[in-house]
Amino acid sequence: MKVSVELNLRNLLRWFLALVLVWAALSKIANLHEFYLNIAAYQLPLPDALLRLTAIVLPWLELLCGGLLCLGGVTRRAALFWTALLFAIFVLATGQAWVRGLDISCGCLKLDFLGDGALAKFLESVKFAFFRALFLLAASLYVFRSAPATAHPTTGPT
Amino acid sequence: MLFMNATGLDSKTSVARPAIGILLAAVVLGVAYNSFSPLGVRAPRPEETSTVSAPSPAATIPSPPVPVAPPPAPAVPAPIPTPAVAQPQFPELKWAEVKTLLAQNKIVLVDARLKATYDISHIPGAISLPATSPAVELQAFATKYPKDTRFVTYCSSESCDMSLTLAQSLYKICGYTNVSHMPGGFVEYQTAEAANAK
Repeated sequence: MKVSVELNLRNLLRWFLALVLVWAALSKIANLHEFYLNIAAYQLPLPDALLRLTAIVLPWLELLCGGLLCLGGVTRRAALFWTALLFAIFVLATGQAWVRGLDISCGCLKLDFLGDGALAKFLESVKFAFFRALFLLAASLYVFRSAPATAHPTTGPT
Repeated sequence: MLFMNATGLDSKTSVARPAIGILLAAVVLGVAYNSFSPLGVRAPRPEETSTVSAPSPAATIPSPPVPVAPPPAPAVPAPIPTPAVAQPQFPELKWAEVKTLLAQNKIVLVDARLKATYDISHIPGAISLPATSPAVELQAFATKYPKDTRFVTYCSSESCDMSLTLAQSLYKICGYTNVSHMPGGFVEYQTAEAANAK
């Protein structure tokens, strides 16, 4: 019974992570230049070429991870590894922006449907993005640690 | 590393290979998509200088009778609407409008082309800030002018997108909310001033 509950929780978190990643990826792929500007606004001490490369590659890494999280076997564990690493980087990036008091949009998810009100501003703030990334990091680490190392007949693609 | 400690040596090797594969796939897909996307990230383009000389060499155009606006310009109340926060729309201005505003010292005119192109010829009174400038240079630029400064960007002509790119950078990175651009660019200026000179 306990195993079943844990399995359901793991699968629920995995699908949630996949949904968030695909949503985030499509938001960025729609306008890569805008995403580059969003990254630059974080004022990270990184060379501009690396910022440009990140803007080009990161959305596709998110999209691949989101898709592969739905699959079983080794690819899922590899996708979980990248997912945890990405969220760890997001925690650091948003955390430093929050500490430095940067008044910027996190540039994480497309929330245009919420309009331009206070809720949209709050959800786009780096403070909220920091705690969201922290939760998603914890979720991805939990799923990674509890996921089987190899594909199992009963826990394959779901 | 995370995947090394989680499940031991066997899983380390079994996860490392697909993880590298995912990264390589993301690089290939990202670079391929970016090269086709009209909203992609553009690297500095030295060849942009070749688009500037049309329709005639810039250096042969007589200097127009436009007073030079000394940068930095003082903060001026701006009638141009402030762009929306979510998706800013940058007002488009014609050279005739820009010329008047420039003469009145109400704007800072910014040349988005490469510095080498700017050095060959530019609209008198314009300052150079290439659209391909790294973020750190844009941030340094942002310290020079008050946040309510009114900027107008331009590049070569209708066919280039550098003025709009720079307008977005001034808005996003520098935090300026009063940014317009002149889509006709240097060619519109050349054509108008050549007609005036006749």
